[in-house]
Amino acid sequence: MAGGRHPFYKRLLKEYKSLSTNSLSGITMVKNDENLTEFIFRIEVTNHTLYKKEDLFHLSIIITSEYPVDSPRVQFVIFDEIVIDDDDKDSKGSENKDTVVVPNGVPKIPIHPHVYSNGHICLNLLGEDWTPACSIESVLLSIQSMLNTNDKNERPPDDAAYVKRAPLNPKSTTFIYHDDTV
Amino acid sequence: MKVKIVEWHGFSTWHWKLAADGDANSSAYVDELCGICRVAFDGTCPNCKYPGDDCPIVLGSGCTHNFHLHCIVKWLEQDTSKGLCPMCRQIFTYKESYPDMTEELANLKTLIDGHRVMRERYTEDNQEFEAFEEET
Amino acid sequence: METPISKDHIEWVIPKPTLNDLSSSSSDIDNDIDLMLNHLQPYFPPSLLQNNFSVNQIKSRLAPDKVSDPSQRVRAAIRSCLKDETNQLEFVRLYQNSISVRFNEFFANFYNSMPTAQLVFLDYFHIIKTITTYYNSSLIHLNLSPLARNLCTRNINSLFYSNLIIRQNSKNSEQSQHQEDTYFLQSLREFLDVYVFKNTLANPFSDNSVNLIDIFTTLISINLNKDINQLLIQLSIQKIKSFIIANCSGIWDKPLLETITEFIQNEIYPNFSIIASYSADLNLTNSVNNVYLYDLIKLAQLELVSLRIKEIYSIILYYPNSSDGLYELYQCLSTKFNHHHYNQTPDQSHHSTNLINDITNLSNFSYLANYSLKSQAYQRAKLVDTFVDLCHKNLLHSGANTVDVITTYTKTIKSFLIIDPKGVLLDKVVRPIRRYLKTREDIIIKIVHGLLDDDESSNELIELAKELRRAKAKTSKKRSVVEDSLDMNWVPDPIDALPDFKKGKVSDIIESLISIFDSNEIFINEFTKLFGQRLVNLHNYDVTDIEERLNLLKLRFGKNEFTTLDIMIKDIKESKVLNKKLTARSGIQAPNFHTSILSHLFWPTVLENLSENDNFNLPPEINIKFEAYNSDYTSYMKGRSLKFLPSLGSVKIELSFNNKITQNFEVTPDRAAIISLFDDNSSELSVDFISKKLNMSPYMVSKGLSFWVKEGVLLELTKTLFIVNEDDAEEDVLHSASIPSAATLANSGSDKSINLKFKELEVLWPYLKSMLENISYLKFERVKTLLKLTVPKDKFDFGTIDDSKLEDYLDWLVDEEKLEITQQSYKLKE
Repeated sequence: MAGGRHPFYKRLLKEYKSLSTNSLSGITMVKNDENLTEFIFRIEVTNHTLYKKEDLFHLSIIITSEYPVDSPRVQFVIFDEIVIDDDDKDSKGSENKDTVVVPNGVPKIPIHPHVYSNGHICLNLLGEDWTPACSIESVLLSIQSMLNTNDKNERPPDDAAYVKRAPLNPKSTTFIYHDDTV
Repeated sequence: MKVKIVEWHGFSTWHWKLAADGDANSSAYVDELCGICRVAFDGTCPNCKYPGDDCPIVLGSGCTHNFHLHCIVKWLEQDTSKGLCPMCRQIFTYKESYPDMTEELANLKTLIDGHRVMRERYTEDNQEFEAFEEET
Repeated sequence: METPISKDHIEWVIPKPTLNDLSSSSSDIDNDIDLMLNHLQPYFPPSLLQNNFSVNQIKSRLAPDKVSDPSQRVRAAIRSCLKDETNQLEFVRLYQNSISVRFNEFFANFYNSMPTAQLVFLDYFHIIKTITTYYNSSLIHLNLSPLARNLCTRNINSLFYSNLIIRQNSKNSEQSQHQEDTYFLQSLREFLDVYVFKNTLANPFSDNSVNLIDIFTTLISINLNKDINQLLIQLSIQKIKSFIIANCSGIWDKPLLETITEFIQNEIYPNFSIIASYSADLNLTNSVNNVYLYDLIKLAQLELVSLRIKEIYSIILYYPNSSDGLYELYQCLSTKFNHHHYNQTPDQSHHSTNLINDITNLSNFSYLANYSLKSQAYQRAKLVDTFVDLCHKNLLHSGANTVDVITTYTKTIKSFLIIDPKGVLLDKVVRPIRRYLKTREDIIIKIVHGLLDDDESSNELIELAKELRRAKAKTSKKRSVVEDSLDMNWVPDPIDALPDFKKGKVSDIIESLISIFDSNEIFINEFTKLFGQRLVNLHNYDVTDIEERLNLLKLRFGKNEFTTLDIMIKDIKESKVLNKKLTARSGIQAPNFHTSILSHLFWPTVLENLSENDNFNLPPEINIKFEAYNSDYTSYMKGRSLKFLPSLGSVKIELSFNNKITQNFEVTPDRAAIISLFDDNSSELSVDFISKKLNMSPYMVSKGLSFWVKEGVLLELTKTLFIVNEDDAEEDVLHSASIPSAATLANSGSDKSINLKFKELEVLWPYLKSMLENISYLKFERVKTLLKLTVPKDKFDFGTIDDSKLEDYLDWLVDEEKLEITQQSYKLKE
């Protein structure tokens, strides 16, 4: 067990426990690995003009080896919840499966002026503004609020160009933060 | 009858005296957590085995936030930290309460100084830039 | 094997041409035939052809009937009739028909008229001998070709076989023939038992009348060798079986195989081999005979194994005293039925399997049927099943004691590794025990204590502690059962090396116990708890012993599994250093205060048990010392301070009484704090007062006070009032009555019902009360004397009253139900 553990495993464990016990409304932990360094959450946005009930937004959060002094790698992904059922059986995320009903819907990357069509997110918290005082929970809440407050049905202006040359890892991109107010 | 105490072998627990902690006895069992590793100060940072001397804490002097020495050093080693306290984003400084300057403390001092230099240079550049802009 | 001719058969071939049919014609040849037939008549020994047999008649007709030597004319007739082999064979066929009619008639008649149960083997033998002699003498002159002669013999043999072995008597043959031996076979068995195995107890024969060689050659001549062999084997097995049951049951603490082998060599084998050499038709050499011996020994081992299987549970409980028995069980189970052990020629090895084949073919004998199944695989499986069954029955139920189960488990491991060093059987038998142990709540504690307590008298699982120590010697090689089972080169130690073999070979008991659980964590937690308690009870800061044990455990559980304990031990070690340093700094000579300093997050098992009740005020002297220590600590260890845990630790105190007697105690801090309040204080203190003063719960105060009362240091005046027991010697009452304080008087004075008549005596009551609390019964005279001794003159002058007034007062107290009087003694009313 001890071999592959993240150096800040204790902190991750605390965060994990807190996420599992105090559920955030509209946010569901769909999957996580045993070392607590890879998570997938489903974010639901209700009563919104742009986002429909059947849109399924999945956020991938990967804890880097330098966490928490380094921000986690966060991006939207297209994720099929049914497929993972089996290989996820032994992981700690399995407890979610019994209670959570997988909703019917279409996995999507949410449309947002700060979310590229490849799932990359331009958010200060994930770059410059990150401090170890932030956590998985604060990332989730920021992104949920970012979607909730959005009223623009558009991608970032440079979406096509960015997606074409974008690295796999959004952390390798230095974003210029378009607009701090959104 | 006379009662003479020949020998009293007692037990005590040790605690870090934290910034906001006036009376050690009253708050000794309130375990404040390091904001970076989320482990109690009287425990250890993730890289240490033994608490106490091996894994000291530093008390913020500009703000009221305290950290395991190793944790704050790790944070300040990041350029993105800009020398700020992770909790309140004020410039991080600490109370120099230890008599001996350990290697680790010296390291912390160097990092803080480094960030200060960076900040000063940045401000100078900006001033020059602003002055230049005004000229044009 | 030829099909025996049955009566039905014979009738079926009718009209059957017999020799008599030939004599009806009248040619030359016919003449010759007539002559020959005359000579051969009546085709059966005439002496047997009379009706009405009796046992005595058989014996009296002992003189065998021979066909008389033929005359020249008859010889010529025979020659002309049996010219060539075709004629001879035709003759034999007809002759045979004639004989078989007689034969069957005779035996039908014989069985019907004789009380067969009364016949002994020799009776049958005489008949057989008579018949064989008769035919031999008649056939000898016929000059038959070998083929014809052979055919003839075979036919006669099959007649014997059908009448002796198969047919009992025609009446009940249908029911009985499958089940039992015929009377003939029974008598043969009896005969073999007596003559071969020298069962002289039941010898009904007189020895001089018996010619064994004659008997066996005769029986073999009529082809009964197979039946003799079968009976011989049956008897041998019976003998061996009863020998083993009589000599091996319940005996597991010494080797027995040699005794068994000797028994077979001396009692069974010699005669067995003689008969076997008669009955086997090939030339038997000695070495082949030895193969029979080997087979007999092997059979004996099978019997021994069967016995041991029944006893297995007890044998294992008896371990290690049953090691010899277990080792022999291993030997029996590992010797194979194949004969690699013997360097034989192929021919010989063919013989050596005969016996076993004979045995295994005998499956219609019920008590032998088992043998065919008793392959090693069967016996090993049976051993496992039996043991597991017995475990469930005797051990693995809810009422069992965990220590017993663990003990049995360790014995099972060691025992089964002797029986089967590869650990295959062990793996099977321990599973149910492991499953069971997993469900026992107290198993972790039992194992942990078992591992750590070296005291043979208190540790029921001392084996575990020894095993842990043993690990020190062989640190590097962690052998598991699995690894052993892969060791194909393993060779059993010679039998002499048994004690050594035992020690060196045993697989890791501790590891096996630990592995019952999926994770080590529960063990680690329990160790941490136990060591934590020991470290707290440690008063000299010497952690050497604990560290040493921890190192042994680390070898088992992993070096990095004991972080918390490492920190705890470091705390104590550093405390020692720090105490020394800080004392040196303070410059105090022989300080009487020192403290263990704990990293509070890492002593959960100790600190979590503390509650508010554990916080009480220290004696001022100690409090001052602690504060001084703490400030030294803070200045030395920058940024840190101490919090005192009053209830932990131990205190040495010295009590010196007015009479110069001093007493030393080592007590818990709460007791020390309580008694410190009595320092230089001769007045009594109430529980309430102490509780307030020390900020300690009244319950704890009472408990501490009763400790000091028990030690004779304090006296209990009332349930809530205590005072120093100043005069240790002589009469307790004297101390108890030393001047009551105002408080005492006020307490008891609350009772306003005192009669005015005794108003001046009212002052005596508290003295009286405390007196009687300490000495329950006092006669009036004693009460008077003691009161005079204890009540100060200024409080009450006994000169002013007489005895009767005092007595009236006491009686009044009885009326008031404050006292009661029994047998002229006063006593406090409950």
